[in-house]
Amino acid sequence: MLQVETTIRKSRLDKEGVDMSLGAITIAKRELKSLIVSPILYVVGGIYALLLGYQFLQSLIFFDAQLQQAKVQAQLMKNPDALQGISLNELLIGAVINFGFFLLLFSVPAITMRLLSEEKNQGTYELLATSPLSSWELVLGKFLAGVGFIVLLLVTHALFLGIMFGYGNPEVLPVISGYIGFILGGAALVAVGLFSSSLTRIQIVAYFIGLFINIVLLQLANGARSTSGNLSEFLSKASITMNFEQFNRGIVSVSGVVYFVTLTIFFLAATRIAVQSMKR
Amino acid sequence: MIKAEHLTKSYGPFTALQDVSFEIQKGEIVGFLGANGAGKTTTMRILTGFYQPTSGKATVAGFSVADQAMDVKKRIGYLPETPPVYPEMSVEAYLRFVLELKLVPREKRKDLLEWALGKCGLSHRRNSIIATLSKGYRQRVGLAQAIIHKPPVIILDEPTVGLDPLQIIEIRNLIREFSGEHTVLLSTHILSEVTAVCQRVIMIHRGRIVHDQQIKDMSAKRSLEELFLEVISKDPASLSDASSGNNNSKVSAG
Repeated sequence: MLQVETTIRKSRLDKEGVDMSLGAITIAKRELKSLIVSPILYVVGGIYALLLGYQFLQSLIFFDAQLQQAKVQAQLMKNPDALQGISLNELLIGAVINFGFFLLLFSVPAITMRLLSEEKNQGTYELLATSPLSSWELVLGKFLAGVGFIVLLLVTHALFLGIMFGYGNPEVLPVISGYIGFILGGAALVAVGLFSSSLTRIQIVAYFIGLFINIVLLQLANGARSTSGNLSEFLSKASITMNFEQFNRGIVSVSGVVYFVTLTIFFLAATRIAVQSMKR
Repeated sequence: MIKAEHLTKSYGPFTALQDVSFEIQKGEIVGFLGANGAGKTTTMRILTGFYQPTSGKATVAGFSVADQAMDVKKRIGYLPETPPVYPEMSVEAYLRFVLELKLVPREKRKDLLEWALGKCGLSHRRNSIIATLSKGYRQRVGLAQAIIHKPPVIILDEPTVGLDPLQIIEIRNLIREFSGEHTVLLSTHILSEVTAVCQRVIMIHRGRIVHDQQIKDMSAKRSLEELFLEVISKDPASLSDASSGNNNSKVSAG
């Protein structure tokens, strides 16, 4: 009996796999179209751009102060090595991207909170659930739309990067690696937000569940700093910001990629289970 | 085309459906008649695969709703109680999305879109944002969504609710046109709707099928109203004792 049941499940999964990408793209396209006409995108994007710009200004002032100090030091002590320690990549670009990622912890749930809870609330989930669309396609489509939002947010980085590369001479590779981390980490945060959106039909509740999970993932870094030994190492490997900082320093490590991909898959799988249980 | 076998659905201690069985042949238009809360929506949701029955089996177009859900979903059009529309989209964008969702091949989409817009009287509102539409127009969009891919089985949950008399006549004419080629199950609590549109009536009361008859076989002496009132005034307990003799204290309590 049990065996029969598992084979039935298997065959259903196989069938669900058909046209998988097609349905997911249908969902993602519609979601992005709705996102573009939604005020949430502009409020979140606007605040994000404002805060990022302010951080850029602060970092610029800090960088300038460090540079002046190093120049004086180099002249007085006749030590030209003092200037070597001033890295445009680390002090300025790295700091801004890092802050941009930190802001994602708060802004991604604001975008993802509606992804599934709104479908439930306005009854459109009934259309999706009775259409030839597998739960994986639905979850994947919503996820892709969320990743699309992360990519849209990168537009707000364009001005700052333009100034950096226009007037300075930073290294390119650490910047690219930083943005690989930004997108991978952002995707993981979208998966977290999607999961919290699948739990409730009230958007603000979804926001705070998502925010809570994000803050836990962030606070692991503090835990890592205040502990020592194996525990500290474990916490630092589990912290979302510490993994991101690796990328931001120009290190694309296997462990970092595995961390973000695992986090994403875990929360997408959890979302799928929640979506299936929405059909009573 | 549609087959329900001993469907039962309970929510905790409340039994919404109990031992519901019926069969609908291809091309039939069947009215599902019952008071509010009788179990019409629950039955329809089970047939469309939205709800899992607690026990029993549903088959649509020869496919099991539980085990071959994808095959069933490809063959049904469904209008839920509230039209499943995205308020921020335009009518046309929404229907294009539905066509894609229902896996309609690209080359057929344009014709079907025009056909559904025309049939549901939406051609002049195709660029309107759904949020700005009146309830009646939203209902039409919901109906267009259910028929746009010309599915063999159409399930409509109170399709004429919120429409004005003229619109009701139009929609009824539309549904009548489906006879023969499409199998239609529509729910309503408006008695005259059944005689106007359907070939057969299934009455449901407190989660049980209490009557099932062809409209043409109904006697002229006894109107549908009289029949309906007679059926629902009977204690469901005595009905079930007469038919199956099983215990149904839960139902009468709920």
